[in-house]
Amino acid sequence: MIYNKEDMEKVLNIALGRGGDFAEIYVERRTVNSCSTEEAKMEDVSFGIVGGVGIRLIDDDKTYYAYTSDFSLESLEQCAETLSKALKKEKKARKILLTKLRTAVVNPELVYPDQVSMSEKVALLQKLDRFCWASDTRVSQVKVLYGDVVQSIAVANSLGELIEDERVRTKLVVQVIASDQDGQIQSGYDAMGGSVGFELFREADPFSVAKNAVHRALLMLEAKLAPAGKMVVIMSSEAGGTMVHEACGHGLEADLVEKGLSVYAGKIGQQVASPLVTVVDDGTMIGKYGTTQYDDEGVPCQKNVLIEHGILKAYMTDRLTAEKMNIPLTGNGRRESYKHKPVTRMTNTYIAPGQDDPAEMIREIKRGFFAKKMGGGQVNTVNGDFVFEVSEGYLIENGKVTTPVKGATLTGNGPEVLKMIDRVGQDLGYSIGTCGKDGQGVPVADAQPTIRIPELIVGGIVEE
Amino acid sequence: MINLAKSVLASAMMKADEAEVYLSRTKELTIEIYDSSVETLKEAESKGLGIRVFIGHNVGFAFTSDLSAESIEKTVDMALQNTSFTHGDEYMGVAEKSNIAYPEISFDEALEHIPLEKKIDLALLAEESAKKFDDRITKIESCGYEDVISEEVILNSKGIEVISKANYCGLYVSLLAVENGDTQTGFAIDFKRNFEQIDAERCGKEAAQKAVELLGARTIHTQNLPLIFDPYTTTNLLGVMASSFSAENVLKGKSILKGKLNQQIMSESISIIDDGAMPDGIMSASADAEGLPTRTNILVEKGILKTFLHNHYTAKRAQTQSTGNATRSGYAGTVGVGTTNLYIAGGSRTENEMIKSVDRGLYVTSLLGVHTANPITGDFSIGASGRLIESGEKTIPVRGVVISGNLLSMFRDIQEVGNNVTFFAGKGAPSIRTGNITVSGD
Repeated sequence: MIYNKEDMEKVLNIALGRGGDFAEIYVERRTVNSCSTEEAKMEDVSFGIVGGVGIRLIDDDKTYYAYTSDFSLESLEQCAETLSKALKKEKKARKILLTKLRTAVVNPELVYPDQVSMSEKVALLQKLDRFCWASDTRVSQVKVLYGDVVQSIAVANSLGELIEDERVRTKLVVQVIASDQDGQIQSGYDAMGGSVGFELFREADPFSVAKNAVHRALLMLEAKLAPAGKMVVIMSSEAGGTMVHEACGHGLEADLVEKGLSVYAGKIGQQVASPLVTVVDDGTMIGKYGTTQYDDEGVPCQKNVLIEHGILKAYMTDRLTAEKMNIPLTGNGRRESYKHKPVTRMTNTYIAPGQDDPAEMIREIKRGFFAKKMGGGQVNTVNGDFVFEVSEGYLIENGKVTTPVKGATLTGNGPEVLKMIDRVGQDLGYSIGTCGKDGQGVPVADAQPTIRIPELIVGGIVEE
Repeated sequence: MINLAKSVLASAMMKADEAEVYLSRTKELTIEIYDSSVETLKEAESKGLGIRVFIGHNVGFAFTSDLSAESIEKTVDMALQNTSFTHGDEYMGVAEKSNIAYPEISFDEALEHIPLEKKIDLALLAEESAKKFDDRITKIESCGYEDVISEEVILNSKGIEVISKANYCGLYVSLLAVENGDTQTGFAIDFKRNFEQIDAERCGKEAAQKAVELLGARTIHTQNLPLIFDPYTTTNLLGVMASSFSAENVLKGKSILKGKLNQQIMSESISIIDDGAMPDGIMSASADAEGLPTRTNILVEKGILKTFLHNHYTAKRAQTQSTGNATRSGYAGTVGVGTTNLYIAGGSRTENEMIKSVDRGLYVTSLLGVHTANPITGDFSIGASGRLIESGEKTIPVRGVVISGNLLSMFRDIQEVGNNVTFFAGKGAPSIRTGNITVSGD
């Protein structure tokens, strides 16, 4: 790391020079590589170094935060000084010694991004790009994007802890546009990624991502307009966990709970979902996109069972909310970068698999909607209302998945839907994404088994 | 800053055919208010450098926030190396000097010197105004003040040398109203270039009114209805369409407007303008991200598509002039095409007159999942809430419905445009009345 223990102690002591309940330094440096194709050629190849230091001082539940992109010790001291002066009432200064030192363990399997040449990354991208273009004459644009990041962080705080962690993430995104003779344009998207290096592509097939994106774009060209109204909905495990993340996960973040902004506030121990539903947030799952060893406050990540057989068990916390609510730390204090204070965030969130056979679940339905892949969504965390786009959806008729439909949206109320779920499959499918909250984006993974929701509003078109 | 940029350019030009340096310095202040006191106070300054180089037609890009000599050297080196993997065409290169004058853009010199207390008081006033509006406002979810002051230097090997300063400041309020176990949310923002123009009271009241108006909302039956979007929701929809005006997306076949120049694409009542030189615009700057002068561009005039937005590259490829719309997302972003201050021009009717003229319809004040609308196809299927209109009057509050259709088809069928153009940061619009749109409910 850039600073030694003594430097960090010095800066913490300046921050606490006029008192304060808690002080923390967050040092971050990341190197990023990205490249992308479009119009059948390598369009962008980019390299970057980003980093800086964020210093936080908490006093009487008030947060004072300053950051700088200048790594000089003087610049840090200046930030600490600014914070210390921001305190209204001067209290007794404290001297901090950093005695609890911990460093994250490096996974021996990890292939670091800089161990693979840019030419190799570019070659993979070009192969995927050519594959997409060659798959169908209706493919009219292809964008393949690769990105990797190595993020080194250090957290030092007034509890005497100094924690160092390193995160390596790799992702691949394919976007395909297809058009037909009638001038109709449709797009298809798929992505893969994880808290891994280049071995990502050894463990999973990047061509499957390309195939899925092409398939979705072409399928939508032939799809009919979605019907409108209430229907029984089967949400495939392949849909990923966007629904659980948006419709339930955010409401279990302690900052929202503490302010009374969550439908789940004050409901620990109560039945909040169907007994078939168990919801888990687990920041320790090896290689998943939301995984880190320590969170961005230096707290070890762990597996947190939030809802067990429908009973609300726990909220996710960061330091400030755990302290305010007097509940355990869960390792969910995350931030986008040194420019942001940590807030309570999800990591890898999923509904645990159940007992039902996904194929059987479809066979039972006379008329319904099959959401195979979900797109983006939005939720009003306060009342739980949500909207999700379906990027690959079909009608279910007489127990069979039939006509593909486009432009469908699912809307409902998160807590109500969780209570209604009446079938939970044995399977589990993941999706990756960047979760936005309070203007900060962090990488997350979400997962769910195939589930059945007896009644949900499908937004579509009524032909006049 | 300029001297650093010059030395980086010189070192890149030892190996590159063309080069461009972008250097930025940003100061930001954030005040978050909770329960009538400051919850978080954030002050910061950051810098960064992005360098774009060309060898032949091939481009390479690299960036760093670490301005130490060692990191800068590595950054220049990586940008040069990256050119060996890209494949460009004869239109690639840095921008050439334009003979159009750079517009004068106001900069609020006073902003930096306004005492912190005054900024805190403004945020407190917004919170208080919201609470006072109605006793059903039970909780202020978040309320705060933000300001950003930035300075950019853009320098290239064809003689462009621009230093531009910009600033914005403003408030946001989001809150809850509760009645009979029903909770509704309201939200408002007021961002300006000039501190004195921020209206904290109005911002607080607007958020409160939005939430209170939705109390007791329920879903309605699936039906086709004319919609009146208020300025905020119209602006949301304009935001979805914004990327279609980018010549980059047109050239790549990713715009619904491809091949439609000089055609009637929308109702005659619609004109859309992008104005990077607007005196009070939040997104105004004298130069774009490549250092070319910004200007007023009429994109749609009385429904006819007049121009796309261009940067240097897309203009050359389409054999036209740059419209001054090169963008980048800070020093770490590559150069693209984007909007500045984008708005739909106002019409002649008041919103009230528009509502009066509707027998049965939906007045939409809030959308959920707007970003899921597909900008490439224009198809949308998004959540909406607002109030039912019956016999020219706003009646029951509505939530939990989905409105679906195609944006372009909807804009072709706009019946009326209001005179109430309102800006929400970099985009603005008046209220609009549509033809029949499917509203999915129970």
